[in-house]
Amino acid sequence: MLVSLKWLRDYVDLPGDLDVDDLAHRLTMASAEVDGIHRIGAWDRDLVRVGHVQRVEPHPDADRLRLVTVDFGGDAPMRVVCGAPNVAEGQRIAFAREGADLIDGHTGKPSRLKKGTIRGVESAGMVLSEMELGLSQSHDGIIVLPADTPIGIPVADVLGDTILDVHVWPNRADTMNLVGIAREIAAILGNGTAIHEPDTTYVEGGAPIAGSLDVTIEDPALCARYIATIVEGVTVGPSPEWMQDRLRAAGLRPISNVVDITNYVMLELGQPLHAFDADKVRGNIAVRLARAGETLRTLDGVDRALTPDTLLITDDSGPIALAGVMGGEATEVTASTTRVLLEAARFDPVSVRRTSFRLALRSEASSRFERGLSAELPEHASRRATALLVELAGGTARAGRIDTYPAPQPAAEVTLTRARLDTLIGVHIDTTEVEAILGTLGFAILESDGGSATSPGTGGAFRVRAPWWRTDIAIDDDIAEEVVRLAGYDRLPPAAIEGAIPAWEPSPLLALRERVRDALADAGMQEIITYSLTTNEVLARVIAPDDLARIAPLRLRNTLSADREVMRPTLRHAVLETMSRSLRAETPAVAIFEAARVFLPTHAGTLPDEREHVTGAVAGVEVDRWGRATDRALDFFDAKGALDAAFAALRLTVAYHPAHANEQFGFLPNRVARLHVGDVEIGVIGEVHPDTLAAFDIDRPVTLFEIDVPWLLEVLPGRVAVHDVSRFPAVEQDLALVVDEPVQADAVRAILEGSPLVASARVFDVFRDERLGAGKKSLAFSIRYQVPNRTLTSDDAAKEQARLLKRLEREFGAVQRA
Amino acid sequence: MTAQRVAEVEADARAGLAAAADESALEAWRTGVLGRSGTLTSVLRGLGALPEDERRAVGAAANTVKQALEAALDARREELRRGALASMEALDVTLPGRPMGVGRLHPVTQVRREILDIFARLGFATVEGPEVELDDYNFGRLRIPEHHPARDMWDTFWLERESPTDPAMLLRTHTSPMQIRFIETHDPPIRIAVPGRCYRYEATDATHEWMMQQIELLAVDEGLSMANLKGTLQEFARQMFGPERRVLMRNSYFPFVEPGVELSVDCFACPGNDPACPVCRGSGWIEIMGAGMVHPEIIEAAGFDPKRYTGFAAGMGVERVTMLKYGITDIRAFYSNDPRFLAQF
Repeated sequence: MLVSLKWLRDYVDLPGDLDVDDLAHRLTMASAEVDGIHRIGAWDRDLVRVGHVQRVEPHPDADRLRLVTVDFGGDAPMRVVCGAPNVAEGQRIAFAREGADLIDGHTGKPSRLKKGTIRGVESAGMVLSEMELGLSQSHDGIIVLPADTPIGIPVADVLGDTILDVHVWPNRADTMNLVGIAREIAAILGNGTAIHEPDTTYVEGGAPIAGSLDVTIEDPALCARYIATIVEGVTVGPSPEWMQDRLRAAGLRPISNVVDITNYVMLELGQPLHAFDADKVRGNIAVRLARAGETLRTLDGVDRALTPDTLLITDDSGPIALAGVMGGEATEVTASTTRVLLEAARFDPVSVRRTSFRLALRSEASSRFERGLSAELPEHASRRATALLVELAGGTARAGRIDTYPAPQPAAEVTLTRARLDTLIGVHIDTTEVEAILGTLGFAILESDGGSATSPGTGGAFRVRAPWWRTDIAIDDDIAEEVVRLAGYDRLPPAAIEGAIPAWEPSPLLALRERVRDALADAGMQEIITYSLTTNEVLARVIAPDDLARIAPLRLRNTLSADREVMRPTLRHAVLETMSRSLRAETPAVAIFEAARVFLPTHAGTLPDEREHVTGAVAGVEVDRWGRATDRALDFFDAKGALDAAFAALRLTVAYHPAHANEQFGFLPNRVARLHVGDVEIGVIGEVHPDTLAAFDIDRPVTLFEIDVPWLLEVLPGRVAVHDVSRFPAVEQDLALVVDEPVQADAVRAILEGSPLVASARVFDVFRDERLGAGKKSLAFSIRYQVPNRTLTSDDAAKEQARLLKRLEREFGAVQRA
Repeated sequence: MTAQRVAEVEADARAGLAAAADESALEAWRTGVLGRSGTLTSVLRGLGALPEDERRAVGAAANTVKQALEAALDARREELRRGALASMEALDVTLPGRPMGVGRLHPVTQVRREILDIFARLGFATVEGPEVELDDYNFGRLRIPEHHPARDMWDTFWLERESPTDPAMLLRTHTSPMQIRFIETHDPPIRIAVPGRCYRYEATDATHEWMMQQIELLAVDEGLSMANLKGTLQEFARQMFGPERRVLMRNSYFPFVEPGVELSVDCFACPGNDPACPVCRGSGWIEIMGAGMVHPEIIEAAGFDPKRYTGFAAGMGVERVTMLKYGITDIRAFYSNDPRFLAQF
């Protein structure tokens, strides 16, 4: 909301030397956020003054220029050249002398006024247009000031202003207007700063309105109050300049005197009003919900189909306005209108908000109604606007008003105990100050027993009645906020929490997720964070069609862009998208992972299963010591190495089980493994299928892994079982075996490590050669024989190795390589 | 064979030792002097031919010399070793090391942890809640009913419903629903910090992302006050931004707190009055979170006596704190995941 300080001064006495920055700061601290301060008119107070046009003569050498003699309150009048068509003797104008900093009327840029000679006539001053003062782009004519403007005063005092851009809170309907801001400022400034309510008196001239019009309200819950006045004999035309200026300063477009008055009073008091052409309203007025099939052509010329929850103003012919949202075209005030029916009502905020949203007709009016205005406000606003119609539109007000107010709403009465106040804010503010604060805010103190200043927590209570405009006040804590916001939050002493530390809430899953994060980063992988939303099209690159159909990812009802439609049930696509971009960023080696939730729909109407996943990918080439990319492509085993390092950090032993062909969508069939701890499958790792990679615009091999953290938590070892370290020496022996291709190194290792004499067996070479035979390979193991209770001899080791060989031959057809 | 001969042998040996410049020369010297037919060994062998008293005197002298020469050999050997080490080829210590893989956590993760660690020291346990929420938890139970104008503060992504009777679900717009979920299932005293992703249906610019991470605080106990809120958040500000930090509270409004405040920290990047300061723009204060005293209706709805229990809540954006900490000016840098950006943290 834009608040003109010049206008605001009508309602509150602000000091002449007001520090605007300080005022804005204090308003922000206590009441409503000032988002910006716009200063208009920083013109030189001596060089730019109000002048009086004494004479206008033709220029001797130019038809379109004239010589203007201006009295600007100086020693002598000055004669200058002026090209404006609207200059005339007797006008009060804005006058600048040489040296004044202005906007150049031709270039639009700042410039300093210089003495010049125009077609042979010397000119040392200028009669100004709005453009030269920086008020607008208008350079068509000079500014003509009101005839009673004192000659010689600085123009800054006449045309200058400061506009505050104020953001008011959704619950403070009362501050969305100038008087409301004035009340806040008066309370903040204190010291009895006075509020001047706008003049609402007018002379009633016409016949009594009562009896000529009936207003009925069908449901008082939707319309608590409806006031109608009638002003007859009005002349529709432009509103006075001062009113237009104020509307423009507040960001509204002047339309006509009648409409401008309704807008002006809305800005002034916060009550949206509507003016009907009374001659077009048929019969009586009823406020009711729409009936099936009803329509209304609104002011904007659109025919609106009305739903049954639309609150309407109707006359005997049917709907004439959408209550609180927009009037109807048929009863609109036009240039020929002479009788105005002025509506001031209190509509239900939810009803107005719902209708304004549905019809996309949000306006200054709806934004005020939806905050919940006081039912007392229509009376003030009705009087004020009727008075202005009489004064500015030349009308005669019918005597009295129709005021339908079935259930008057009393102002809130609240009791705040001294104990509650002190507990809630944590500092003792003494009773006189509490009373003073509440008093300046318009609260009536009904009873006060606030206790002594020196004994916090004792004493009775404050029983107060909220001022009628404060619709946000309902409970005792609301009163406490009033006290603390005006006392100042800087009065609160920063205090540590006392009392017992709550029972610790363990979060093992979150703790594990953080350990996995650390472990993968320690293993050389970079964490990424990507968006949770994607599209089914992207998901189809990494999820099999049947699975995607079965998962049916959660879909958004409203999206900002086409690439955010569904909540992702996997992280694979996101990691590959980032991989694609990273590789294109000419990063030779990329190892990335994300730890985030995936969203798996469960039953309709229930929240999805949000599972913590960790998904990573490795691609590119190894970088050597010199930072050069080498020829060696990073592969499955680089990714597995990182993963194994992470598992080692978690003290987990993970088995890699080859996945069956085509079991894992998006991976190469023979190059993918399931990650197992015992019987529990915790994830997957594999080389991504080239077709999948192509869909992500990646032309290099990528290995991708995925860990399901809840499953990982299932298998995470609890306390580590600590073994004694053997004091006896180990015997190391190597063993090379020839086996069939499909035999896995890990199966052999498991048998070797199954021996009670073997402390560890480690594969160190895989070798293929035609001499081994087709479909054969050689696996070389380094075996460490060691037991905790004695020294093994090489003989012991040889005997055990022979035994193991027999077993391996039996199980795998393995033979020792010659 | 006299003591003079012993002295001559010693003098020769010492000269020879001084001239020996490497290990093989030392070995040759040892053989030549102390070996089986070495010069000193020969002297000792010849002792038998001497008369008894002379033999004893010369023998003692020769043994003393032998020990001295053995010690001199060791010393010479050590001297040569040190000399060799001292004259080793110099290492160019500026050459690159052999690289180990270095990975880093995302800056938002790092700062999120930093914040949570601070609050953990103050007794706030970390808990998380769902990112897909019920309308009722994201809004309704936080006293933001449908058609409340405060809903404009949170533009929302809504999920499609299979049937109109299904409860309305959305992507949570803040971590505040976890206030409700936690207080409904736990007794005071409560102190929790709730991190997590939130979503806003709004266009992206340098300071707004449609996905962001928040951390919510909730404390409920007997006698908690706004002074405790201020003290807790001042302590956070000091641990996060420096020990001299002060906090400023100003009036604000959130339907689920009363009173509601906005909290700022005094600028740590400038003296507080530099109009060009990228952090505070000369205001001297940096807004970091919304906060307030838990609305008594929320405490009551959870089954606790609001006369007895009070509480405070606060919420802050992790990206914003990260931007402040590192002087980042465009929030969009975080989730574009450019490796060159991420590698800096």
